[in-house]
Amino acid sequence: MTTNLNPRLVLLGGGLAAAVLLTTSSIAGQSGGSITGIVRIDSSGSLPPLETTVDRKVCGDAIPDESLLVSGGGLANAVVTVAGVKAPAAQGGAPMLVNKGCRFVPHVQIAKVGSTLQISSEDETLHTSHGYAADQRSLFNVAIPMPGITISRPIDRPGVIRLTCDTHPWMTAWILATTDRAAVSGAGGEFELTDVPPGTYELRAWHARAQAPPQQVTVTAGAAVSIVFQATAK
Amino acid sequence: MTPRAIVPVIAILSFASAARAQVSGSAGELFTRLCVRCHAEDGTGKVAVPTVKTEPMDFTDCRIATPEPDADWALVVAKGGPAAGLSSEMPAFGDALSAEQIAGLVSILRGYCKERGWPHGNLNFPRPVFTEKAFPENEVVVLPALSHGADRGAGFRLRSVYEKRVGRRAHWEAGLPLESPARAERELGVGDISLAAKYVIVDDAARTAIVTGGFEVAFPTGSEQRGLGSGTTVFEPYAAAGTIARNTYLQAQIKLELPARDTWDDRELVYNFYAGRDLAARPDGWTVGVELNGANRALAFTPQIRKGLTRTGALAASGGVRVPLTSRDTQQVRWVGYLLWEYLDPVRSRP
Repeated sequence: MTTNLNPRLVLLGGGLAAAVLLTTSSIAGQSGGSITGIVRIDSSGSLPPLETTVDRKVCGDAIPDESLLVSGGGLANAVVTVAGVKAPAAQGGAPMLVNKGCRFVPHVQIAKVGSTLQISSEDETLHTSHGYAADQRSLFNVAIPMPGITISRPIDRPGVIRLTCDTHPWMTAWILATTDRAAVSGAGGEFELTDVPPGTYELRAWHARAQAPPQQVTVTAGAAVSIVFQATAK
Repeated sequence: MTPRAIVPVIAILSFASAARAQVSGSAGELFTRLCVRCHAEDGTGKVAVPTVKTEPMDFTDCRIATPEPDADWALVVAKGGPAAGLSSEMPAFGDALSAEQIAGLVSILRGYCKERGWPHGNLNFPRPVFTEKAFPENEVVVLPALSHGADRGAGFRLRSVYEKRVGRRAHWEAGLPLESPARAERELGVGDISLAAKYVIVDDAARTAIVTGGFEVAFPTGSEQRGLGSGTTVFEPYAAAGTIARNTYLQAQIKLELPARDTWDDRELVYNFYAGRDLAARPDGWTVGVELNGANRALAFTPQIRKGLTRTGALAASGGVRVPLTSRDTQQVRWVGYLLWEYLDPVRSRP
């Protein structure tokens, strides 16, 4: 049996199919929305350098105080978390802490619970990386005598980890261990969380020396929602 | 901390990761680079600009530096202070240094005690239930014992002992027993209170051998009529010794019990031998052992197990059962044990 197809119908059908495919593809690509924003703080600006007390041949006389970095009213190193939204596998990458110039680099980072912190040094001096839980319980304290050694410690529970060096007491760093979607604010306080599933969530901002009230945010597919946190120094 | 064998030092440190052993230098150079910052060049822990909140221990104080075995010191260097109940500001070097390097550091820090005559902590072996320890201690020990069998009723004894070191090599102790003997009529009361002293005669750290002489006197404070005491003063000279062979603790004691009344008729030769091993080289680890206990011709054996109850090892407990081998018509089965507290050591880890 032979069927004669109307060329107009064929074109119409093909067009419809293409439209459906494109629409489906577009929806798949925009299944989540994004949250962008800024963490602001009413603060005059950054703090004076910290004077070193020991090991000045290696560390110098002073190092920058990174505990409250403000640029144009924006607060750096704030961790913004979407409560209840699971972090993607790659969030934050492998957490790393480098003792560099008698500072911890990075000063603030997020780490997924279940990941492994890699600790190393670039300084020709003895550093220790001493992690404390929020309740001041010591979690680990490893000695790193020289560059070229990498030491691992598990991040096995959620919470804030404060890091200090017991041989250079001005050194501090923070790790926020979480299972939630999170981002660290940049130098101007800006942050972005992409591909957040549609829904209404509580958005929280954490900073070692500042606080901001949590906010409700509603995310819709394919759209970006903008948030401003107004933080005050603790 | 709790005494343990020397040999497991290497085993303790075997966890160190592949990143270790990149640090080079002699033990002395490593000590200068890694330890002096906090512990000071002279080992006193007093530095011009301290960077830690907890003042490090004074290695030159022999009372502090001598009683614990090398294994405990190596454990702290490798795993950090909390591994043995000390400050968490003491970091773990086990990922960066080899076992040999850590042993070298331990050797240096132990050398800060310059006074002669202090017995080495490697001779401080775990306490058996019956065999007297040769090493002097600062401890409070509570020893319960429940006996039954031999066609008698059940008896109970709870003996508390306070021990205090005196000087470098001696120790004195006082014992207070609470007795409830196995008799038809139930009695409960204070038994014969004892006083004792001992002195380390030989201590050879290189050969891991220690010999102690002691003398105990039990006074007739317990009622003989109620079965709580012997009714006479008993003099008990003894010798105790200990060593390690193939990771096994070997301890022995021989004692003569001489009652003031009918001294030679009622004299008793008491002898105890103990062999035991650590299952884990940690202050809160398990130690299993067995004793052979004799009194004249009556023989018994006592399998036992001991465990440190805290990370510091300041609290420990032991339990076992003494089973008659001979003279079963007169010897009872005894469930025995102890709870000890090393009262100069921290019970809990510091933050």
